[in-house]
Amino acid sequence: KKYTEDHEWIEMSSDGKTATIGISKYAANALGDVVYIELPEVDTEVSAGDAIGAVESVKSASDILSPVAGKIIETNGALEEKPGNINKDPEGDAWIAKVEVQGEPEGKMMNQEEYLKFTEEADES
Amino acid sequence: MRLQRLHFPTTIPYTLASTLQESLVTRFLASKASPHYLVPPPPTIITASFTPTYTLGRRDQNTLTPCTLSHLSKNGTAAVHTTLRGGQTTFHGPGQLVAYPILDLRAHKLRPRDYICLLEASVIATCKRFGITAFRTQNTGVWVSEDEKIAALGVHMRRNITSHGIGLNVSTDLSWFDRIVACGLEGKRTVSFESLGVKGKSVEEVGRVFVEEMAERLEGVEAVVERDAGVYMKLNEVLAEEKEDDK
Repeated sequence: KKYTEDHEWIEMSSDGKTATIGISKYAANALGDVVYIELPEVDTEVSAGDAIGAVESVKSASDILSPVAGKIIETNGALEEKPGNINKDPEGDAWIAKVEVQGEPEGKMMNQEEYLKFTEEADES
Repeated sequence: MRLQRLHFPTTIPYTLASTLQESLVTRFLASKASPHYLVPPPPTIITASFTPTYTLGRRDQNTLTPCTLSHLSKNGTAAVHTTLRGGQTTFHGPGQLVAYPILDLRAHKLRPRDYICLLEASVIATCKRFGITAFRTQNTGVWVSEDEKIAALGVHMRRNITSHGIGLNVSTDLSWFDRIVACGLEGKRTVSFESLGVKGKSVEEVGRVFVEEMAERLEGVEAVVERDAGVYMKLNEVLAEEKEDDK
């Protein structure tokens, strides 16, 4: 599992053909109680850095960006009914979308350790 | 750093503020993607008042049926726009201060939830300076009683760059709010400075006070620089060829 500077995570499948995308625990926390999640449409083609939906909490809608180019093959429909799940298990059950990967992830990718350090530095001050 | 206020001196269509804010957001994002080539814009707050307009948040995008659209637009006297901000349906019109802070939350060390708090706090402080006691309730926005709302709030964020913001009623014609369930809250009413007895204040001066209050709360901001956004009146024409149905 890798993390982006915008607090998304991406996990590649073992055959490297698909990936699962979600937001980190840190992000879910920073947003507050999520009241609505806009999911992408299946079959949409996205480029790295494109928005694939949004997470809304107390009147702020924050875009979720895909770290990788690909085609949306599955979205987590349960989130449409229970958006609050993303506050409970953002890095597990409350994944957002699965993509058929069409290239390398772009932008800075961090492993769990690096990401932890990154968020600690962001909070310091 | 200095906080830049871009103030539109006359009532403008929503689309003009929307284009200006998008340009700033795009510039911020481009600078994030290429920090060695592009310097980000200064933190900016656009202040303005709009011609009668209903805006819908992201969640309401699919509820805009032809029937709803025709009801809202009231025979073409009000514009109707869907946006990418959070929150639901609200009204903007002459006499309402609309303020759109375009900021990089990371530059000010703010998490999204903190930013919403900061916006509310600035509105509350602004009301106080005009003799109005306002506060937060469990519903987002700024209230003068459990059921009376004086300012609505709805924000969009992309890579921590903010857009959209607040609508604070100074001398708004409140009857426009009767036509919607503002922000999806049944049984609540909208009030304004004027309906509360604070008369004769202009959107311009309330806007100036709001920007001062924001400047005080934003880390890293030392001063405000005021700029006339009147130079941007033709921005929509400059950036995109005018289509027949835009008239």
